Amino acid sequence: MSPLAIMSTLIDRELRTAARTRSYYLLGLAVGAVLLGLTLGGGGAATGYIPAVVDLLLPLEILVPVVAVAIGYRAIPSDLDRGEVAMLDTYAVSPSAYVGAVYVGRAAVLSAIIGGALVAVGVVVAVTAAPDTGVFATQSGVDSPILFGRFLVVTLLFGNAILAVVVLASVVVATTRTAIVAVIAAVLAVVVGGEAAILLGVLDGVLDEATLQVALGLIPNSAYRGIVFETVVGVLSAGESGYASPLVSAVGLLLWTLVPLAAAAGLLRWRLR
Amino acid sequence: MDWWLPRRWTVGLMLCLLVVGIPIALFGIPVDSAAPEPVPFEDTRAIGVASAEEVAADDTAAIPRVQVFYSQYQYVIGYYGLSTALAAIDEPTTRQQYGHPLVTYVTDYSNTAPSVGDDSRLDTEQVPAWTAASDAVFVVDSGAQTPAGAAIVPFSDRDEATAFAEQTGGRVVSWATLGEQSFETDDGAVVRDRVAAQRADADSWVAERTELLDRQRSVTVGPDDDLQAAIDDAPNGTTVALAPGQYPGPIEIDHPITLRGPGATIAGDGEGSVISVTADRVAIQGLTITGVGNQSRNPDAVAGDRWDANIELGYGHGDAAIAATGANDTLVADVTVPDTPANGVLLRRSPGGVVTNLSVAGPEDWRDGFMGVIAMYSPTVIQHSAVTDGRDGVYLHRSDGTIIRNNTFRENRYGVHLMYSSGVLVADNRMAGQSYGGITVMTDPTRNAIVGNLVHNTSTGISTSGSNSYLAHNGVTDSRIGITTTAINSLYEHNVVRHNEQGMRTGSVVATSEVTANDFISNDRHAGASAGPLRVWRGNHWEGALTTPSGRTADRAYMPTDPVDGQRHRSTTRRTVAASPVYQGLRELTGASPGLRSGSILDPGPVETPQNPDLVETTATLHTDGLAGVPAAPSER
Repeated sequence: MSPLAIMSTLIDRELRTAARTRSYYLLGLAVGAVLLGLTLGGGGAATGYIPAVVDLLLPLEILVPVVAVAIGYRAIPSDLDRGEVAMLDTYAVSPSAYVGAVYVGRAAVLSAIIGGALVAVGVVVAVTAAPDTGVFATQSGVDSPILFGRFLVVTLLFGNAILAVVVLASVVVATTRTAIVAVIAAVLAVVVGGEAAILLGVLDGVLDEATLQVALGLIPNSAYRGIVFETVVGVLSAGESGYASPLVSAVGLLLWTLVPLAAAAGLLRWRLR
Repeated sequence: MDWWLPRRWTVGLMLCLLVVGIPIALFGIPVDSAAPEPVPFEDTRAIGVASAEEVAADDTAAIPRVQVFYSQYQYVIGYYGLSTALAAIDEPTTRQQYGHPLVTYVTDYSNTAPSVGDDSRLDTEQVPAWTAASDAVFVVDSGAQTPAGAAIVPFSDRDEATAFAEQTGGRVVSWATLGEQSFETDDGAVVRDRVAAQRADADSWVAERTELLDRQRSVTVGPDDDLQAAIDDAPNGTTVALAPGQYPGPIEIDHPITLRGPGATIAGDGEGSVISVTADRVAIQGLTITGVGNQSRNPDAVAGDRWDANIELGYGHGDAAIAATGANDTLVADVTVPDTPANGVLLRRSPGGVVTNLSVAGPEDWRDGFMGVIAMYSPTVIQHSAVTDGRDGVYLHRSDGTIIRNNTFRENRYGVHLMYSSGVLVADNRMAGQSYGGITVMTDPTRNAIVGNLVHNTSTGISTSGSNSYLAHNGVTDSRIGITTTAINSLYEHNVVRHNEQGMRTGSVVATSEVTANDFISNDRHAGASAGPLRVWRGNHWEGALTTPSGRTADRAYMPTDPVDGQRHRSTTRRTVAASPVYQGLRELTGASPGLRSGSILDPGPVETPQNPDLVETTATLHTDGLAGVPAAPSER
């Protein structure tokens, strides 16, 4: 079998497993309900996409990592516990292909859950957003579904980067029993620790304007927030930019996706040796 | 089916498109490329001329117009006059509330054969269409004048612009050049700076009219004499003195004399007005007037065909204790009208008058009565007077620059009712128990100042309208709504609203006013918002906004219209809800897109201590004791 075919078979297996897992459906419903609740509670959805984004941005910074933990923490450890990884070895499946396939499968689940919930929010905005009064002529300004689409894309980038961190942390401890602790610790380290590092850097004066944009790009939450500010909310005011460097931040998020996956594959290879 | 790609390739390509192509495309598409088409001007929220109706009844081309689509504002804003629009676009508040202009349209005077008439009015033969401002050129210094100032006339066709400029002696400039100039409109702060001078003007205005009381006495009349004959015989510029007692009316004064009679009563026959004044510089002092007719309008009156003729007929021709028509510089002083079924004092086309220490009472039900003082086309000083049980305490129509101060109004429909009147000062009045409103401004006037008034137990304490006004140092208690902020581009500062159902309420979709340093205390809801964007009110004191369970105060934004935040001062339980991270996360960035939000108010910097301690104390007394508890003439500030 070609590596591609193996990958495709493994991804297929992951997706079938996911499709059979009832708790994912529950999780999806819960996330959808929370986002819709926040959207309606925030009030911004009553008038447009950007206000809805503004309402959801900070809650999503917390919610997305939690969902990533729920989806990813036991994917590999449970395979390890059941000895399935060792069995895969007999089929000459490389650890990279295996980690990649597991990740793609889980990323698809995460994207479906978060993306689906955000699409639902988008539909709510599209259907309900309207000005308070029809006495005057109205328009939508720069507000548009495109901006909401950008928000969705960036949110998924962020979620999948955190998912990669989760996969790595779970490979580090390698047992289902301890995976949850390790994964939560890792996510906290990245989410809270990264932000704290930036804050400290600013407080101590280590980071100046030029390096701050780069530093922001290298911390997943900051990168996420920065891209949304720069390419979604910041569009409101012409000429006002510099919330972050979208390119650096996007590269940062991709690195947070690829580096942990590579590390996880390497670690697994070392374990199975 | 050779031309099909292998299935795997198709799937791969689709996935690639989904995961890479579409996301990248989303960031590549510019979001503000599609400019919306212009809308009919009537559909915009129009700003810039005191009473649009006056203009609407006129030629629509007389004022060049602008409409702006802002990047983060749902309503299309219309402006009368280019300078109004340019001033607004430059305004930092506008930037903050609406964002930047996505597209600006101006009325296009190409193909309309424009000319400037002898009256400096801009005339056209065709109705101007709309054109994008960035593509247009503009003729300035053409000599054309509009109610919004010197006209700046847009053309889409440069040759026509040049021709018009040559014809009128103006010059042609581009949109970019216009944008570099600075345009300013008088906002509320300018009106604030005017108030002191306006008070001083009123003082000298009153002093001049009061000199009419110094006229030499030519005759003293007793109750048995023929009063009308004595008045008719009195030489111009003298005083007719009345001995105490009752005199039959009605009487007419058609030349400049002074009528003085402390203790004298003039009793009308219940038909028409009791004293009619038709000459300039007449003074009436010290009389009691009874027997006023009960008609609030005169079926035989004629008022011409001006746009407001029906208003004049409806309000300006009723019976009155004293009716001055075409009588400039009238003085009415120390007059008592104990019971009128119609007006107390009516001034029609009689500018320059002074009404001081007048007392008017109407029937128990305001529907049976009319106005305490009505001034039509008659700028007047109305002071130290009292009106009870009338329809309106004071009703103004087109009486710019009137001063209404230190009066007391009880149990009327409206205490002070401004129609089509700009540049008015309403100061230091006290009012209680009006059915509809304390001070009610209608019809979009401009540059009004409402200062230092106390309103108690009224439906809507102070209801504003129009633009560029100044509302300050007012105290409203125990009312349904304290103060409305309908007047745009205005300054609302140092007011105290307490024990109202709603302290303040927004009323305009245009959020260009500054609302600051006001105290909101013990209202059911400190503030409510009607249709429109998020309003940002900075630096007010909202009782309970900052208290925390530890008893200390927190540094935080406050949203009075929010069901959680807005009830902090009434419900400690809601403070627990407000401390939730979810709630705070939702609220943290709310102010980021005010123009795209709706029906809400945010104070990003609420202050802990009341900003107006004296007025807070006064309104506390007003709340417990009503008008009886507060001094009759609030000290001037």
